[in-house]
Amino acid sequence: MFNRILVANRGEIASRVIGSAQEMGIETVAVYSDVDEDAVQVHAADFAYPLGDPKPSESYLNMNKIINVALESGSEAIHPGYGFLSENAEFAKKVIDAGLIWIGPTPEALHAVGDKIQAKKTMKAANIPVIPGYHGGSRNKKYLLKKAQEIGFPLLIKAAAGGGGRGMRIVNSKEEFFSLYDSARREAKAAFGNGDVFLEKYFEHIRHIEFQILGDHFGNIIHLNERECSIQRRHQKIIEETPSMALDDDLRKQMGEVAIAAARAVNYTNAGSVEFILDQDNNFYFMEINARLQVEHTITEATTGVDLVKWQIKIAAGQEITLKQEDVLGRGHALEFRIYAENPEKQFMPTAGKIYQMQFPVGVNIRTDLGIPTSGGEVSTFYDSMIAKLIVQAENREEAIQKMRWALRNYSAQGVKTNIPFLKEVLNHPNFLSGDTHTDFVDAHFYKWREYKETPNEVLLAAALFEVMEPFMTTGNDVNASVVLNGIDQHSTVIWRKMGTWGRESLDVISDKITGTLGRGKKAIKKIIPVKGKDIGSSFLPDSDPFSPWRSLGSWKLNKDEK
Amino acid sequence: MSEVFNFDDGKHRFEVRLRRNKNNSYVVMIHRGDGAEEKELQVSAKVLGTGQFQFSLDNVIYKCSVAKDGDVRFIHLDGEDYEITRVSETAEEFGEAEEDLGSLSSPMPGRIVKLLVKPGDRVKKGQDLIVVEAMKMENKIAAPFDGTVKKVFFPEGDQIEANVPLIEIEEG
Repeated sequence: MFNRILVANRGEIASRVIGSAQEMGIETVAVYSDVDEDAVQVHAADFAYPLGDPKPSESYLNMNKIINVALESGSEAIHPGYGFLSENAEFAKKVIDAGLIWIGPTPEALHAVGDKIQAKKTMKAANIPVIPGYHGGSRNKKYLLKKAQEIGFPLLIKAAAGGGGRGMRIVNSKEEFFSLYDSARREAKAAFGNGDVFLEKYFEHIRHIEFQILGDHFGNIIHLNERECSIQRRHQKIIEETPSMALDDDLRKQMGEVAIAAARAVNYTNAGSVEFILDQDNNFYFMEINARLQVEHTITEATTGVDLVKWQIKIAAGQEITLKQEDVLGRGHALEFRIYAENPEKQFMPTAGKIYQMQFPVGVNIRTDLGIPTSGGEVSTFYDSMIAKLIVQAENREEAIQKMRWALRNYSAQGVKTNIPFLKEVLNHPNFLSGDTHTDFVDAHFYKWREYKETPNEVLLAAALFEVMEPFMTTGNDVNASVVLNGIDQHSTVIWRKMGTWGRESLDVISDKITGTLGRGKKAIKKIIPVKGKDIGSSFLPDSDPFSPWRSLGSWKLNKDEK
Repeated sequence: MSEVFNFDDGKHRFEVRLRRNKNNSYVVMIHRGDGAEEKELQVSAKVLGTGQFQFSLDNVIYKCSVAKDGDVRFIHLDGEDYEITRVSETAEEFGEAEEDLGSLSSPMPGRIVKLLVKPGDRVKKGQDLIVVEAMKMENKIAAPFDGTVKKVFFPEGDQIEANVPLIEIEEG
């Protein structure tokens, strides 16, 4: 096993990886750019090295700088996290050429899945169902139209070199085909310097299902069940859950086997996700392999009890996967809600700025992977604006939803606009509650969404009290900078503990008491918490559960510097 | 002695008057710009830490967290986040500057949302007379003294310019 590894990333994923490494007795090296001096990975790691200029290309994307830091710091391996250099075959090769170990898929596997067209051809050859389409190189328009008619309308024209929706066109009929084909080529050429496009069947109402896989260097590949990530905005996932409401045991088994076959077709090693789209008739098609640890890996950990990062490290260190497919048991239901600094009322535009105070829920099977320090961090414009991931696990979906409701109410990042109000409404939407989730969910149900909230008297009262009491509030080093709002935390040093449990139950009791005095406020509370305390008693797993991820994981739940 | 604080939630203006009774207890008057009725509340409060305090209202304890950025207040209460702005009293002074005049003028260009009185009505000092919406905020024109409404110059719904007389009151 390694003595010391470098984590070539920042924010929540860097500190999460560091947490697992530290539990394994491995020393960790973090890197940070000029604006990240106080970032979570710096405090979490045993050592932190500067990368200078905050521009990604000069810091977290600078291959040579990172490799030099790894060599200088005596690291033996590099974990890339997600994003940045995580799926870069060239970087993986450079790491290996520098005599270091790459904690991720081999450069060959990265290359094989990185070229989307090539990957689809490989999958087709391995009898993996792929989205019907034409991936050949012909530019003969008559021939292409014939192919388009074979595929059927609506269809999608996609740039071969592309991404981010550029060079992409939806064609609804054969009359539109030529003009849209020409404009897609023009746009692709302008954006990527390469006008090549391919054709694919377009699905309007689909679910996004992915299977977590782990492969070692001995030819063992297992899957750890699916995650449904249909709810997206700006083509980015915001809510993930496992298991998916759309899969039954048979379909799960079938898709899981196909996922393993897909991984095998490219000799995949380490952790990855095989992405499928699932249509309304339960037909599934291979989309791509995400050759990295994903943001939403946490829900798989929550239901299977498997620490994926530990396995990434063990596999990279040459260990064989001891976990058998039949040992992988999904327990209960898990949800991940991503909390972003962004404005849902303005096309989810990222917001930046200082976070003055942060509060997060603590409880059994509630996990918060924080991307910024609790003692007041800065959301920088240089990087992704995700502040945290909130993960809950419970015995079933209904209880997980109730738990998430409570958790979101007790999460607060004061100082920037966040998507929390939006997430709360998604959580109450009938289509979400019934599991009717598709990739068009946000557009279909939350188009031009506006938050409507009156300012209750209690808030005005609190604002005025703050003005008169502020001079008496302590300043300087203050343990309350990170406030655990929930009295469940036995180790809390903060004052809430004295006040008893401030949970769902106590809120309900209060909301009953305040009839008349709160008026609208009472209704609001009832709307958000429609259940009585007695209904949620069973949602907490007993501590003796051998599969509970909270037994083995957890050091990254709280950053050590907060203690 | 009471202290007065004005807040703005982006839609409405609110005035909160706070009178300290003894120790940590206060009598609070909330005057809401959204037309809801005025409320008097008895409350006691206690500081817990920076930006953290609790207050007790009708025997219910609320925990609250407030952060400030200039005039902006970020408030977490009852599981919800609110963002309101503290408005300085000087911004409110236009109301008082008009006090000597028998006819009350519009503070800024806007629209008459509601007439609360009609000619011949007896009014008391401080009573709301007209609601004017300007810059997406509602402002109430209050009576500067006890008296009788002589004349109302505009019907509801009319657009008005700044500094035009809206209502005339005869003192007495």
